[in-house]
Amino acid sequence: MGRFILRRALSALVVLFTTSVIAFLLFFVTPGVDPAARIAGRSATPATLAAVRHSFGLDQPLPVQYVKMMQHLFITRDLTSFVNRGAKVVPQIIAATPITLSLVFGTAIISMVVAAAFGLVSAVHKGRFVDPFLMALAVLGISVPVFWLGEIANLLTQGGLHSSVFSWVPPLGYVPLTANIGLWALHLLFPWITMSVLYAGVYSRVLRGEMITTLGEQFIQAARAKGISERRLVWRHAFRCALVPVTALFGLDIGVLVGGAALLTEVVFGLPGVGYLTYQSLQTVDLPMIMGTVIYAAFFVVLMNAIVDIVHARLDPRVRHA
Amino acid sequence: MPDTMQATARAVGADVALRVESLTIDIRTKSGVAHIVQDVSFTVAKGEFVGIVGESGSGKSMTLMNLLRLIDNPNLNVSGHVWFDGEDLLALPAKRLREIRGGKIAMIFQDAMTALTPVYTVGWHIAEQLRAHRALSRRAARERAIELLTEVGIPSPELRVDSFPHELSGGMRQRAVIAMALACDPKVLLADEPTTALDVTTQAQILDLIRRLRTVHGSAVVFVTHDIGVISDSADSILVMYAGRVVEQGRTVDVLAAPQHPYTQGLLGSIPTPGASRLTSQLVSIDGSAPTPSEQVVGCAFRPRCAYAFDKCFTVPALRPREGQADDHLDACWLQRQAQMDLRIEAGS
Amino acid sequence: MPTARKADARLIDGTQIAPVLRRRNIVGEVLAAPQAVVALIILVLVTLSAVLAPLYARFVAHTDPFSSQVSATITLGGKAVPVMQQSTTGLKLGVTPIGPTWSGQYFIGADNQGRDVMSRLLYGGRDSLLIGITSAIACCVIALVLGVLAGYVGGIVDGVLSRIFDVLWAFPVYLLAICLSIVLLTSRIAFGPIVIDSSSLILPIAIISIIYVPYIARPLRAQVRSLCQRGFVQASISVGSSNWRIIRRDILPNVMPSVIVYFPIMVALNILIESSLSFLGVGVQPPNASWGTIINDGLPLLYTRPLVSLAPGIMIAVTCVALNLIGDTIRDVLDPQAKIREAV
Repeated sequence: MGRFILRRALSALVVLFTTSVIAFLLFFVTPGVDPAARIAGRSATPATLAAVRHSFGLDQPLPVQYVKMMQHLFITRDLTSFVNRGAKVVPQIIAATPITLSLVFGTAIISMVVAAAFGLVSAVHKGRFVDPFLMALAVLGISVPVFWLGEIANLLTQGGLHSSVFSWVPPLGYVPLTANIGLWALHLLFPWITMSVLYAGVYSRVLRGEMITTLGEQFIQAARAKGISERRLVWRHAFRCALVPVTALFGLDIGVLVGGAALLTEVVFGLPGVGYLTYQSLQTVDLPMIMGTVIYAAFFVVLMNAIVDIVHARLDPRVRHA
Repeated sequence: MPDTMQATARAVGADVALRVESLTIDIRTKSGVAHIVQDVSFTVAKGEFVGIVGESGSGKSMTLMNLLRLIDNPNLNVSGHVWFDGEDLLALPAKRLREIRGGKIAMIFQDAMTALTPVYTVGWHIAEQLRAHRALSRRAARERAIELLTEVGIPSPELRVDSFPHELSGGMRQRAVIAMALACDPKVLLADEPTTALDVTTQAQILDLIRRLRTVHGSAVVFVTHDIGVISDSADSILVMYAGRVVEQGRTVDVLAAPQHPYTQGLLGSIPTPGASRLTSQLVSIDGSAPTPSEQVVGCAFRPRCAYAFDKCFTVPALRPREGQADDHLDACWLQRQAQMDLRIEAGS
Repeated sequence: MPTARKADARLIDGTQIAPVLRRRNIVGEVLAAPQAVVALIILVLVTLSAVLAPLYARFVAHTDPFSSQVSATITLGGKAVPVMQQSTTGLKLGVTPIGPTWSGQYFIGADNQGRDVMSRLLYGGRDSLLIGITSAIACCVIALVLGVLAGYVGGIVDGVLSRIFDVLWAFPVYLLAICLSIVLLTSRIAFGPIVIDSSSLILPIAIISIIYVPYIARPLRAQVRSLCQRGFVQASISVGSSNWRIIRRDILPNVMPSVIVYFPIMVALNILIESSLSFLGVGVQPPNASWGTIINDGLPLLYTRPLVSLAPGIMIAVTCVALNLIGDTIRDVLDPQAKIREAV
């Protein structure tokens, strides 16, 4: 177990290091992406440009810049934004994290419940009327652009109907869980639903496929031969086994979403989460913030990978001993 | 004649464990209806060991699986009767059928690896079987599971009870599956090629185990195999299946001593006899391959491969007894007895 | 040699024979499914409407979909109506683009530059479909090459490629796409005399085709690796077939069905991610329009002229539903076990 953890931690470090170096090179070395020119503005003279370069340390050799940036990010934790001089990177990311986590975990729960219901019912009643009906809904779910669906949700709840049917929907924004749990949920309700449409669609399709594969296995017939109920057969035997590959993929997707892929929903619903922060920093080419958010994303991806591996081993004894 | 008396007793009798009457299985596919099993009838007496022999695709496994309606496929159409304890299993409501599955009639499968849900331990499987039919606490079920594992000869059962299927060897897994099947002392044990996936020495051990436990638990056994050699000394009676039909059935001694159907003769001829001199005995192989269910052969399905086929073979022969053979020794072949005799002389010389 | 292989196919060990796709009527089998026929009709209609967009713009709407029409007027019911109408609410400041006229000109209204949304929608379809299809082709080709390379060659090549796939597999593709877009859009890219303008469609195509490569290359690699363990490949190796011959005769025919299954689903995914990138302003750049950029253009008008944003979204959804339905049908026919990651 100790060696397992050590190996995981080591590979996590390698991934974090590689990602940060690639991001660094991408934004510092690519011609045209000159951070100093961005900061100094369009009409800057060469002299101001040089001054800006110097004061931001951009005239130093690249490895030095990289090391200094990492030092400010991890050790002194006082890395400041290029664009907004007062803003510190680390506290900003830390402040944005609960918003993204709230968004992603709510979505995860809703979409998993819906996907389990759709996938299970479809697989068990394969070929009957409900199956194509539910799967058509799932296809629709994966075919609609998330940000567009979010805009429609806004149109409905914030537009003309806001004064009548949807008067209970609060304006866009975020209220912390600790401040008021009811308002927190109310603010996140439509973002959750919007994102869940996609993920429920994806996972009901995945789950249906896995369930059909599993229901065709011999151990299902063997279990039926034991005289157990069909309900037990579906849940304890088929669903339990179909869950193994589904969880692996699901964990990965959660990692990706927490890592910043939820940004479209965050932008549409005005949620100041990490995705939003990443998007802003990318747009303004705010290098310290980009480095911070990219490393944050890589960290969550690596973390979720590790959790997926552990859960996978819990769920599947064959992996545990491999 | 004692044989006749026993046959009558079987047909009417109190001694019958399971009676299958004209079981027919069709499957609808895109290209039409395929007949997988046609008009199969047999009787299993209490405690009897019945062997069903046939090539792969002969419908023997489908027959066995459908006795308990294990295959949940809307395109499958099963007709006929499976009488057990005065009830027709094919017409039984699902709830009542569940009480019989595993409780009164249990099943073991070809590959124990694929027959056990991979995420649960051996002990969990046995406990599930027990608790499906007996009111037992978890603890009691676990203790009983250890006893059963001991009974089937698994070393250190109190450790093995917590093993996952993939951690056991093939032979051990099959023993565990047998322990599971026998957990509720079933009246009938259905075995679907339980030794095929194992190596030869393990095969013999598993077969021994099934034979021994049969006497201990008093279960009848229906044993499906493609290898007639496996059951020739265990089975009380034998059914030979070819392309979905029974071509010959009877008491094992009768069938082995005087096989009537050319296919049975071919099967027996393809088994090497230990000690036989190479000069006098020759292994016979049957030319060609068996038709698949979608390839319908007109008349007797064996006709295209049969060396003795003649015009009559274009109609399907019925299963019937022959003169000079036991009354319960049936075969489905048009060849006259005389011709058969000649044939055997020819083959022997 | 091939004839001998075929003749013996049933007699010798089945695993020695490559289970190459039988000559089946795959198109016929796919079209036997009613939903596939409906989906195909929809796709043909969408493609036609996009391809024929100039006809609509020139002869029906009489408009240039790409230039500003703020001061234009049109004749409706005999009266001249300005395209940008004076606001009638509040302080009566500012202008609102004309709404749907349900007639030839400005069929579904104008955007806030007075451009005919219908003609932009049809032109936008061209770019969306073009990006979706070319990126999917490029992605599948790159993934096929890398997947076969990693799976067949093995060793260090496989080690390096697999590691890269693994990292990218778990990395948010949106972030990757946005990073690449921003870098490529701000820098001037030149290959010798060829300069790629930042408004060129090549940029989004290149970005979108790269980011999904691991999604296809990873399962293909696994498939190739398991094929290499199979009897028929081992048999080819044992008779001294050249690597190229083994790849061409034994490997490619067996992985192609998966690639064909992935293709329509990839087109749908690409159209979706293109729209997302355009929505964020880092996808298709003006003067080009795609469905995503039109949605983005319509956002300021969301509460007054919602159709500007709604219409392109509906086009995306309809097209992607059709593509996914076809993809599902092809999968059921060719390779029911094929799996592709559909999210993020």
